[in-house]
Amino acid sequence: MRTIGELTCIWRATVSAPAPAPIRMAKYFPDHVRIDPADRDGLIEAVSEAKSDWIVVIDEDLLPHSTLPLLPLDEDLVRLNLPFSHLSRNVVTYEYDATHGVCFWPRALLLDRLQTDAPIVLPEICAPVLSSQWYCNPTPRVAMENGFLTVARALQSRLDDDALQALTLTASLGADAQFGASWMIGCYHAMLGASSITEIVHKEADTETSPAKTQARADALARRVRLEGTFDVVPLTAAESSLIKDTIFSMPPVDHFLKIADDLERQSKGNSDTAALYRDAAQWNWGRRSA
Amino acid sequence: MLTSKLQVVFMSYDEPWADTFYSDLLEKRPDAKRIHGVKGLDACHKAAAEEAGDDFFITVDADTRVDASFFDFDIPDDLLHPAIRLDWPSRNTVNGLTYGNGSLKCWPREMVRNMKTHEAAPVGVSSVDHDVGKGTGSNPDSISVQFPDCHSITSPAETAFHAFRCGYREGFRMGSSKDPAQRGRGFDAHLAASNMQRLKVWCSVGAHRPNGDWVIYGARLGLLRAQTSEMPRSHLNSFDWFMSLWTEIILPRVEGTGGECRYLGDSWAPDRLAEESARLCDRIVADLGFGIANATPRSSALLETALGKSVSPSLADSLGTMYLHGKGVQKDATAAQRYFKIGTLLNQSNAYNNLARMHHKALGVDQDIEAAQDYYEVAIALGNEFAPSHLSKLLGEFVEKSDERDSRMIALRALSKDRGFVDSGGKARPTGTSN
Repeated sequence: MRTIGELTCIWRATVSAPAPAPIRMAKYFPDHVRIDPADRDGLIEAVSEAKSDWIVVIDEDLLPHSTLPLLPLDEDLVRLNLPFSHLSRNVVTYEYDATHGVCFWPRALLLDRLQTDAPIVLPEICAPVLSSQWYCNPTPRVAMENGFLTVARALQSRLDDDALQALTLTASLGADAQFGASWMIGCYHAMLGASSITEIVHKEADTETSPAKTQARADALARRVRLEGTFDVVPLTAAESSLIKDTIFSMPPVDHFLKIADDLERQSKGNSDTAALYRDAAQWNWGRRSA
Repeated sequence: MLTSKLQVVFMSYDEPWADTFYSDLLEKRPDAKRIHGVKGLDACHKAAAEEAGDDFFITVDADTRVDASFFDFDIPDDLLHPAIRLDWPSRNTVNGLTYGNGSLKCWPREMVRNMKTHEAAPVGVSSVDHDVGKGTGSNPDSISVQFPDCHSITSPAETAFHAFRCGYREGFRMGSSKDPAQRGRGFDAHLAASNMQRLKVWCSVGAHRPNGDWVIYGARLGLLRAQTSEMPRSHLNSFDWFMSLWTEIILPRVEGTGGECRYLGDSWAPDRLAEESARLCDRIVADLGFGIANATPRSSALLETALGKSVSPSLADSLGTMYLHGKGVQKDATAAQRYFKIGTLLNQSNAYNNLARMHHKALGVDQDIEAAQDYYEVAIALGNEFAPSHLSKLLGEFVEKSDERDSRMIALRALSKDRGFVDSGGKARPTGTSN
């Protein structure tokens, strides 16, 4: 049984990577190779020289958990020879996020893609394993941008009632987090139909001057969203926000378990046993009607 | 066996709405029986067992409404066993929590006949709701298996009095500790994670529901009494004591008009209740350092909706243990390993620890020391209380003696002790850090 800590780890980070990240990387992956995200040649070289047949790729906005290097490498997923990712936790809302997470690549496949200039995108398969935090709020501006992008991306899909409710919560949490009000402002602009993040950042520059001003602006925008939109958002207080985080996000949503089961079966019928395990895990946590 | 084949018994005592809820049950199960007014929860369950007249039967509490879908549930045959009680959680209509409070239960008649809980518990033994079904010594092997499927809602706030009583009982039960050293600021570090979460919700969410403010007030007061008084837990079983508390102390404190109970005729001033409740909230936060919220009705509604999507921790690991040791079911190492693997997918530290034990001790699988070591390491990293001790023993048994090995063994034993597990095989104290 191999552990993730035994694999070659590439950290894609600029020189201005947010402060907690370098500390965690040095502690949990002391032998990591640091490559600037824009340096494709450097990445090719690092992958070529990797000692393991699988590679861990961590982006600079992720803070890996201390357990990550100890986790066993999922051999069922390794057998597929396809890249996969883990879930991360949004540090503002504490929700699980499948669009940012630690990635695992077969070395040969990653090298091939790099050498053929193929895009290195987020893998399609996401294991419902939480192994990092998505540090989406290092500055007010980045928090606002990420809030906006998160909601805007979700609104591109057709949303059922559950998804609308989840998005309402996404935009209501954060008062207890660093620059949480900026996150909310970004979310509310997306809900109000804004299309350009650059425009919003410019428009909201004045609100960044004080936390009270930022919160007042978030409250005002929330009122507009409630009046004009389909979202009954409520900027929760710090105590309410903290209560939610303490109570409801102990397990990734069932959809993540069902999706990977479907993905595994689609890849090969030989994966049906592993897919069944994920479905059973969903059933044991959410009941038979979930499966 | 389908649940539709099992006798159902509705249990009521003093709930003024019970006739309505029983009628609702009869629409789904016209053959449902009822027992009413039996004093004492132990006696009440024994009366239900006799009324049912079968080896296995299902109970429905008076504040619970069952969804018709429940009667399509197919119980695996090997779980219908004299030593196993089956539970299906209920969703609380006030705060959205879905767990054992108000749950539907399938009982083996013999288990109920032999149990000694609540008012029937041996002298000196404190016994409250979660003990129902336990033999308190006479039947230590009985097991409770909790299905995740929710087929019912529980409405604990049909009257102000019942709302207060239900909140108080849950607040006190979950917030109490037998060890005085574990009371006061930081008490929550000694609670199981699920209880800590539920306690916070009971003390915070519900302001948007009728009588929800009474549930919250009761929970806050119950928690504070559990933490700051010597009130015996046995009071929780005395509904007479609760009625005295209600009429002599609680209602006079919030005397006034504006709130009225249509069933019991009680009246109170909602503003005074809100002030009293906010004061308790402040004390809990300031004195106990326990983070609860005085949520507005609008926030509370959002919180309840979100909580409805949350789940209780999976019991896959418990099932694995049952199959591994043949507790209540036929021993089956393959089934055990499968359940433990499911547990690892859900990130349960116990599941990793149990997989490690199987490989370490060759329990139904080939011995694989390297795999065992790796599983123990993950379990330890996830906060498991047993794994450090087990890994220490593994190192002593299979790794060549060296200074490095001996230092690690000492560190692991210290960690084990710190997490509340001692080498003799017993727990030094309960922990809330299994994950």
